[in-house]
Amino acid sequence: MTPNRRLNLADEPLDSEHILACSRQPYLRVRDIVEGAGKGKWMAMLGGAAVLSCCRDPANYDIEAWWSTAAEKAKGPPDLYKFYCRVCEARVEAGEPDERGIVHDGCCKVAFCVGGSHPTDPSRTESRPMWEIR
Amino acid sequence: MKYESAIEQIANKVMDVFGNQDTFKVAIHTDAPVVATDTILGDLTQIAGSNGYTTNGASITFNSSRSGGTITATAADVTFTASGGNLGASTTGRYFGIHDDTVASPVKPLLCDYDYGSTFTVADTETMLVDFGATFWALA
Repeated sequence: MTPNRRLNLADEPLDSEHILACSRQPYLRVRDIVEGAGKGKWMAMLGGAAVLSCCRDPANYDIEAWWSTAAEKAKGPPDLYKFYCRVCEARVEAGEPDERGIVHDGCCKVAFCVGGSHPTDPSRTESRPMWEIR
Repeated sequence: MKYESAIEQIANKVMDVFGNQDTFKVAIHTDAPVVATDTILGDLTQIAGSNGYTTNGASITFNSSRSGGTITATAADVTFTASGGNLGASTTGRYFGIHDDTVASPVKPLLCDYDYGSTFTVADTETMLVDFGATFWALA
């Protein structure tokens, strides 16, 4: 049976325990918050690993924050950040090929935080960004 | 979550978790970890070694140091990028298991594990980044 949804990192399957923490926003709108938390490395790493040219431009991205589980939510800040490339999203929705000539379902990238702050060195604190848009 | 057998492997001088002598890797697997009975990487069901995923996972550039009576471990962030199809030809990855890839007996003992909170599919061109933060493991 073929599922009637795209199977990719944007998908939240039935077994998902994820809880939305911060609403989806253009990356550039919250970039100062993300990079102020020391997470500018995410865009550098995701862009560096990108297969497609559109995925290397921060201006093409939206970002959304989640907790992976209720237990993570109880700890405080979110631990899972989804980056959506809007160019890829439009192409996937239209079923059009990418610059390689390939039709695929990919449009999302994820940063999953599994670490924490250093237990004895306050200068090595793990910060995770949060935002609220009013 | 910590694998219960890991503490034995450390105390028994099997896993070297101080400094950077041993190579630790992060592997993606589909079955829920059973921390009381899973002891080696072979106890886990990994996604296939294809489309950007290498069987047994990726090195995390493990290192650790002591401050006072506490040892803390650091690791370099890891990215898995799918190319040519779904990462590991999988739609059912969910967990990230850390193991000592250097140890031969028992083969690749398990250290700890992380639950993504959902099965996931890393489709062609997508990237999963594992961020180990300031530290991901401590022994006190």
